[in-house]
Amino acid sequence: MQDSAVIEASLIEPESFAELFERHAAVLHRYVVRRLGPDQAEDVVAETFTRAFEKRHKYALDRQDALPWLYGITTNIIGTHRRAEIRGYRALARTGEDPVAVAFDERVVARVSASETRRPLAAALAKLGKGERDVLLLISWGDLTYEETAQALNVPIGTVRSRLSRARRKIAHALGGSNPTNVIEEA
Amino acid sequence: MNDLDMVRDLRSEVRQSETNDLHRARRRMLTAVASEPPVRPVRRMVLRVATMGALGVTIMTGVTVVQSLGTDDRERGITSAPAWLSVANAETLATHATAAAAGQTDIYPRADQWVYVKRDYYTSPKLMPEVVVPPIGGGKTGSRYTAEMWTRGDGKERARRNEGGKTIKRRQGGEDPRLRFDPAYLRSLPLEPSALLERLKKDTSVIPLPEARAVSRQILSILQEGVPAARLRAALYTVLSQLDDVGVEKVRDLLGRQGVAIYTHDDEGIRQEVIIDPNTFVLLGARHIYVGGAKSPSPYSELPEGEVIISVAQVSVGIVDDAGDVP
Repeated sequence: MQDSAVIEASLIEPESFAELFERHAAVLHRYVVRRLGPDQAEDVVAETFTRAFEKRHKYALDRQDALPWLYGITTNIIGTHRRAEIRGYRALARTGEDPVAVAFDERVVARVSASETRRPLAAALAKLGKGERDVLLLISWGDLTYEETAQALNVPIGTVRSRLSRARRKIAHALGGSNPTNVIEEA
Repeated sequence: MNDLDMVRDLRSEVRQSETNDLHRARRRMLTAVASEPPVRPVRRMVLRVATMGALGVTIMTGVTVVQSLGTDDRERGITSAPAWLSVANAETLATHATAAAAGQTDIYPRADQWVYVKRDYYTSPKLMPEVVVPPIGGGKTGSRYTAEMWTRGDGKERARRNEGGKTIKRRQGGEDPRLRFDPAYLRSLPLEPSALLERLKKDTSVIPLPEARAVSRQILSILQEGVPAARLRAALYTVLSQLDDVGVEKVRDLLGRQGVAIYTHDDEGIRQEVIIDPNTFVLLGARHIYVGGAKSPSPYSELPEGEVIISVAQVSVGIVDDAGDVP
């Protein structure tokens, strides 16, 4: 059953909405962990699904996959934790230690990259504008397409492209690259 | 690695979330759901005209009852027990794999490391005679050979060494850029089976195959090429076990190891098997077997039923620092 059918069914039988949680909560949770850290991730996911449930009457049922819609709600909630998110990037940039990965990865053999790019990259993420960071991370961490990102943020696809282009230029500059042709657009 | 790949790699070591991470969130969501009472569907009211003796005409309200006329297979006398039983067994196998995986550690390579896989291959000489197809694997015969493969952690490069070879061949990109099985992709996949199925459907929608076949093909690619961590592997088995017409059977793989095959059938009379170690639940290999029914000009139509068309055994897997290294 497609997500849209689940949402439609939940209009009559609200408990059907739990299926959407089972399908997407874990993916959203990991995304939030990467942006904010584990301490706030569960609350953000809970708030995402509570808001989604309240707003499900407005869902465009012709969109079969609800994940972009849920990412959009999550992104709005992450926006209210912007300072905490930026603090995390700055801590990584300053110390090279990532409190997010360490806190959430007790069971994982964390083969953390020793790459020298992590610190300038984190510093660059901290400096991006909110809209640029949202687009960049929805595409690179959320695995959304340009179109899905546009749906998630409720902006035109052209805005997604321009924000991503600006974000990548800034990232490339922070990493020491100045040749704009190195920034290859990915579909 | 371009700038976008570097962003993808940042914090990619964060493990996949699981049920235990979401108890409170689930409870909050269910509380919100429970606070809204179900909407009772408005039943269709009809006007029924009834005559009440000689007193005249009375208008009554009534409820139209829709009766289901469907019958299940048992009522039609069709025996579906074997198929039903085998599906249940496949799901049981996946359930055991999930339980065993719960306590295991996720290990994925860094973006600049490589996944190493060594495989034994067998291809039916009846399908591809050696006079037509030279020994592609470099083995003594065209039908049986060994090959080693390396896939870079970011999925951007692959390498291969054929049997007896002293050099490796490197190639940029994967065999099919639309299909990914690199660690960053694997970590982005949900571990909850129904969510995983939906994600795989979406990711394979570009493949010109029926949905279930595209999904099973992608699962096989991930299992063989990506060498996923135990929890994701178990979730993939679960998805596979829930596809239509799936069965399980005890088999031996190319190396004679005993395993359990989860199998499906395609439209050309090919049974596709994924062979799993019943104790550790690691992937042992895969086979394609012709079971009959192909019509000319299908290349399989001349084959005897039961012919193993291709068989692949995973000999060893691991994570290494460079292509050419072995664990």
